Amino acid sequence: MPILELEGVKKSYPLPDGGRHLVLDLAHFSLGAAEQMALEGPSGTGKTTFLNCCAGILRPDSGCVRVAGQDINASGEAKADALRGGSLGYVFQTFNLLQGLSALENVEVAMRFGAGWDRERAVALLGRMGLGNKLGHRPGQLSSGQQQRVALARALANRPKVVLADEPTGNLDADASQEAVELLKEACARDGAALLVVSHDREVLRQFKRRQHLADLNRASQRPSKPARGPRRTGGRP
Amino acid sequence: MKGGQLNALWLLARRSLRQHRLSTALTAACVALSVGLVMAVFSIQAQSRDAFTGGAIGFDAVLGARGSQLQLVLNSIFHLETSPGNIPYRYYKAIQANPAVALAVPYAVGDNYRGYRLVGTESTIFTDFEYQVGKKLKTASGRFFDPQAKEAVVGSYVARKLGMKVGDTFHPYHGLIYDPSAMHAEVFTVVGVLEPTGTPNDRVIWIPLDSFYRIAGHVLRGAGSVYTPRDGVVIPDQDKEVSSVMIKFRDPETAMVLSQMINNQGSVATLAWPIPKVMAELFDKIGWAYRVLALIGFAVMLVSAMATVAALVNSLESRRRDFAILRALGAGRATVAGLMVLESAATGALGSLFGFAVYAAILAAAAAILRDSTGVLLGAWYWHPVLAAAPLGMTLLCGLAGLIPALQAYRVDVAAGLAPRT
Repeated sequence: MPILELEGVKKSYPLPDGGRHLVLDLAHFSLGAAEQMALEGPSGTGKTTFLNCCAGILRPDSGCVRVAGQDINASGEAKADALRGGSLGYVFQTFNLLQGLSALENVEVAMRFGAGWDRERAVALLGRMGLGNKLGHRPGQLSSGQQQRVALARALANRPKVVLADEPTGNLDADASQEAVELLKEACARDGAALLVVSHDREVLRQFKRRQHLADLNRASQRPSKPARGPRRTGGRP
Repeated sequence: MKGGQLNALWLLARRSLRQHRLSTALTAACVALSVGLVMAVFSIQAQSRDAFTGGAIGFDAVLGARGSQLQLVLNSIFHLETSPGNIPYRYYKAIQANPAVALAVPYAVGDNYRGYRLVGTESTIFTDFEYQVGKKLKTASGRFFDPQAKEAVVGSYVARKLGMKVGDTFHPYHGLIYDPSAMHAEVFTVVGVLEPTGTPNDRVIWIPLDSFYRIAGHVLRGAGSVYTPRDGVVIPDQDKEVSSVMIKFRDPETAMVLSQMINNQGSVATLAWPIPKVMAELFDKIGWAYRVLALIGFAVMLVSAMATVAALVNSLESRRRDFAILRALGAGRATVAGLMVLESAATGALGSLFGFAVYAAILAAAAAILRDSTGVLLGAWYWHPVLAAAPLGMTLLCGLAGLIPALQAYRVDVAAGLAPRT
């Protein structure tokens, strides 16, 4: 059974003229348990929207997103929150660490909203990321690479079934980028978590056996592009 | 909400307050001032009322010239205000002879030394008077005065303020307000300094009644005509006058009968009885002032709660990302909203904690003023329900006010909050 499955998912954003801009139109997508995959696509092709739909952060206009067999949007927002806390790990391009908390606290807070606080595991995770001596450092006191590793430890904190990574190396140099992806793959493999990375970076993509162009899946991007119709409203990043 | 999530909220609230420490400190200071002010108003009002109506007075009634009972009590018990006039000495002797009277002590006032009043009295103030059950006036140094000598026993506060000690001499000044040009020629010698009592008696210089009569310029009209005391000549009792007679009853029923007789049927004297009731009337009359102060305090509390909320609302824009991150980690809308309520309540609680320091400072200042002007002491450890109600109420008020930013946090759009900023 796939651990992540999207069926007939469509997502559009409102336009100032009252119309809607369709960003995502997927017939089907699935990711198997412990499978590792990279989705490729240039900027503006709906990669983040796709991941946000997978994580229940965005609710699709239609279609179904199943995580571990459960429809993430079927039982309301609280259910989606619980699934996100327990079954999903998310690594953001900009890391999105809580600036007021230390590296250890960032990992522990995620645990408290998910599987439950486990100091030993939090310390071990950060140790595996090579941050054993930086537990008390706040994000501002860490390099970009170190922040990225804290974000990765946080994503793995609750033993998720799926880890989603949105341009995880976007803020790293080439060497750090390769190392980060290796770490990501190795950590997910060790924890038995499936990994879905979206990126436009060919070096990143090359590190995955299963790769796919989002454009091949997304019927919205296969249609002729519409002329620009003014600025989009906020509410997500297509 | 699970216990783990509550712990997470508590950690996030603490870290956020630390991260915005300047704003936290300023709002907590506002809260501290308002809570301290409200606690001080209620506590000082209650303490001063207790001190003036039920404190260590030691007497049940005051007999004095016809007039205001309140003026009589203020003048004789608290050594404030002017004397309403004199009554013949024989009134004192009559009261003293009443079998229902346990103790009667005459007071004669009208002179001061550098602003502290001299009270002419008899030795019974030292030998028989108890300002509290089992507690009499005692000398810290020296001895009590000789009733026939120009000697003085100084209250502890006066001694400390004026640096007076046994063996010092001084000239009395005419009147109850210090006027350097009104110096009497007589010289009194300090023979004793009293131990502190925490009562208005600490602010008095006690001298013998007979010596008070013999100060130049004092004339007596006890018999209706003017009598001027002369050295070496015993003053006849019928010519003597006193400002008031302090009375301790054996039987309160007699006090009621005496009160009826003197106040309702007589026309020469006034019996101020019972003293706590007379003083309570004063507090009832000035109660509006305390209510106004309390109202101001409550208004300041409300403003402080609004300031707390304003600080949180102002920080919301910069914290949208944090809320979105928390939501992405699995925190529900209610959890994120709860964080705002918790932060607001925590600021209120923190401020309330510091409010005790503000309260202590206001109380210390008020106590010093009250002690300087009346001799009455306010206690640092006085318990009043407001000491619990004000901090708890303020914390609750801040928590409730926190619902405003909480609502905004509740509405944060996760995807928009997580979007990289340009």
